[in-house]
Amino acid sequence: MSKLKKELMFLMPKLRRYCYGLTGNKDRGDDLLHNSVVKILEKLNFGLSSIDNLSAYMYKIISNTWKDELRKKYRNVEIHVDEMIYNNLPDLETNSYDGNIDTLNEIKDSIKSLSLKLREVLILVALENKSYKETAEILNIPIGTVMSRLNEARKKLSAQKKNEEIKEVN
Amino acid sequence: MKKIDDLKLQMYVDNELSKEESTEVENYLKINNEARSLVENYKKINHLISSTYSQIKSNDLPKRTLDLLMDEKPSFFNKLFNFKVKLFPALGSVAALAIVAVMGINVFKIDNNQINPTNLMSENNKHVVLNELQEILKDSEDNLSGIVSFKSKNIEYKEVKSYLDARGRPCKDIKFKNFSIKDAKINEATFVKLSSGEWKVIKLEFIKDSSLGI
Repeated sequence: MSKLKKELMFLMPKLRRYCYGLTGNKDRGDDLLHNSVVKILEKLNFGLSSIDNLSAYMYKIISNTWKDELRKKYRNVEIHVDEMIYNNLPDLETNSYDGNIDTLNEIKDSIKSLSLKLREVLILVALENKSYKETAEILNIPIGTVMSRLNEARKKLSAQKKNEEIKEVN
Repeated sequence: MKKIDDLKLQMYVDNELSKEESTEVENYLKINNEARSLVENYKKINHLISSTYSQIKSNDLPKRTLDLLMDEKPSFFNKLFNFKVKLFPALGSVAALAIVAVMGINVFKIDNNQINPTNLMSENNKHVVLNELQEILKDSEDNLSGIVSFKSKNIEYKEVKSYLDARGRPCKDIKFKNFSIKDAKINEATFVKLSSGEWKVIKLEFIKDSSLGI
């Protein structure tokens, strides 16, 4: 087994967790992980022997693979696809799950309700403990954008949490 | 104390601040309940997220993906290298064949220098050889086999065939072996002597004819 594959094996649990976080679904997460691994192995087969920061590279691949899959999925929707996926994905995605959502707990649903652009930042920072700088590099966005998205995501989750608490009281 | 905004509080939660900045935020949190509540909320969200997804970490990894990683497919360069390795014997064979071919050509060239077919000898040179041989044998026309001395060298000649040509004329083929004429080395020459006394070249193998220089 090559050194790169060994590193990849070591990263697998983390990457799988990230995939779950992005997709909000176990099966989809595993599919995403598999497709991302296929991509990196293809690169490996075409001469890629080492990567400086494999972890960041893999997060990037996973993120891009997921966006590609969503683009394919919503190809026929008659609105600007990228914008729609990035900003309004949760509603469409929730509708497309057809009841097969693996709802482990409330926070998962809450995260899933966030748009992809907020979700990916939140997962990288809060779940994967990535620094703002690393997150910015992985997602290819400025650090300021990471901070503002993170703030927005947390505020949305806090608002949801408050609403649920109000519902429970009532 | 100066008000600390939400973004800086968030940075504090995410350990993005320096030690001095963190201390500053901690002092601020002691006197600001709203900020403290916000930070606690952020920390709670972080904790919920990590605890929710941490259980996934211990789960078994998907087998198909593991199989994919365990599968030792050679890389492009490995394939290329393996191809090269496989190619080496083939290349060796090709090289050997090339060497043999080149050597063969050289051998052939050497042979050409040593023994040339008649048709490669110029007509002038053939004529020179023919005249010389006629000169050698002018006194022994009836005896077309034996050894004749010519310019201090013995030339072996032999009648090899006696026949009638298409016109019914009696002909005799005479073969000469290993002789030199004007420094041209001739391996074998076969002539036909017609009944009229005229000679014609049938076969002329020579080693070197350039010295004839005619």
